[in-house]
Amino acid sequence: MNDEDFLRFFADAVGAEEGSVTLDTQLSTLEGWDSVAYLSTMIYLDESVGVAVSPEQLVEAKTVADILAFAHSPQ
Amino acid sequence: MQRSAVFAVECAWGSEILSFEVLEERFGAENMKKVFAGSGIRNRRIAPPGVCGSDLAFEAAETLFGKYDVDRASIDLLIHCTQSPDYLIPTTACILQDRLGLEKHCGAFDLNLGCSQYVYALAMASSAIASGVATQALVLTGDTMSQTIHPMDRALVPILGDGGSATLVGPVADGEGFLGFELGTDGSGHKYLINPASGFRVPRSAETAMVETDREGNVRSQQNLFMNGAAVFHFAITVVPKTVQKVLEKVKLSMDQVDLFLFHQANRYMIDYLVKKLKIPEEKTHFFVENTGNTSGTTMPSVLADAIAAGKVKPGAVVLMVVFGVGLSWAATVVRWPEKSLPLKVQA
Repeated sequence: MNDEDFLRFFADAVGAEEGSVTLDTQLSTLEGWDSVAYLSTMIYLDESVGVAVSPEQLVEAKTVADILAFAHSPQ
Repeated sequence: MQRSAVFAVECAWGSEILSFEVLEERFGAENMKKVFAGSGIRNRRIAPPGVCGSDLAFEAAETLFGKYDVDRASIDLLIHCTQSPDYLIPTTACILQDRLGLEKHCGAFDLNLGCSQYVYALAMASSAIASGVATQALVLTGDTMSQTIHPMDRALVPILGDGGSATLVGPVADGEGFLGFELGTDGSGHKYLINPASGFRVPRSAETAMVETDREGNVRSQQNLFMNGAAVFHFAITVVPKTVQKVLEKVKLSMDQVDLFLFHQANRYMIDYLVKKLKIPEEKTHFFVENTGNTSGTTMPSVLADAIAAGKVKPGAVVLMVVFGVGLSWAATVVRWPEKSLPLKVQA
């Protein structure tokens, strides 16, 4: 998984247009960033990098890049 | 050490159906489309007001006794699993011993766990038989979780159903029956699935009855069941695969040697993911959630009974059951299905 793959997946998960979400996008500005999107993000990362980012980390994350940082540095 | 196995299992679910169509009106078609895609649950079996979990357990036990001609006097241990008891005091299992006409030499107690209750109860029954404490045990489950949730909680109403079950556990030859158990707990996650004002820690008051709406539009009070779905999902996908591996290591079997993997039927989305993650071929599992909903601890006996009815559990088959949920709590067992599994009769 590279950043582009994740951004493509993530835009779809939050119901945004492809290309409209970047690494710097503030999660609080995304209407579709809800518990269903949490689940699909958790699964996507578990499948692609083998790390199930926790819901606490997803709440803590401010930007899309923060989510990726958690996925790449598991606790 | 006396080995034991499941001899027979029967279930009973709430008599009313809370349909997809009714919930479409309540929560909106778009929401329900999403819920169905994720949960795989179309209809929920709901117990009407006044019906308790123990009534469903009782119904299942009477079916089991009738169908298999079980001698009630042969049962010397009753384990009743519930989180929606008739009373906090006395123990519902004692009331069930009397209602079911079991002998007074029958030990009876409630086991307070949720989705993991069934395998825990099987572990207790198997241990009691192995140690000579009991000869034949009746394991009952019975819960009406629908009565603990707010009707406008769209995270839980579309998921949960009510059900009960009865399982007869008795002695079998060496090499058959329960081969081993793996139990686990992580109480730090107790807050993810909780009915806050349901006991003595938070006494019920006008304040705890106040209804609030969360940011995703779910409605509930402190007296209703709450679930952090994402946290429970995270728990399941991290703990279940490890538990499956551990129980197999314990009984010295490999994934390939298991004929059937049965999972707590939380929702279809979660089970599908676990099956995929564990690389289990679809014919080696079974689903039973679409028309009952998640009936807490009754999902495992339900999916087991349905798999038996579907011919997936033949004598000699190796069955792995894994359950997980509120607590957080989990359990797994591996069973070699016995060649002969008939209820014991009391010696005249």
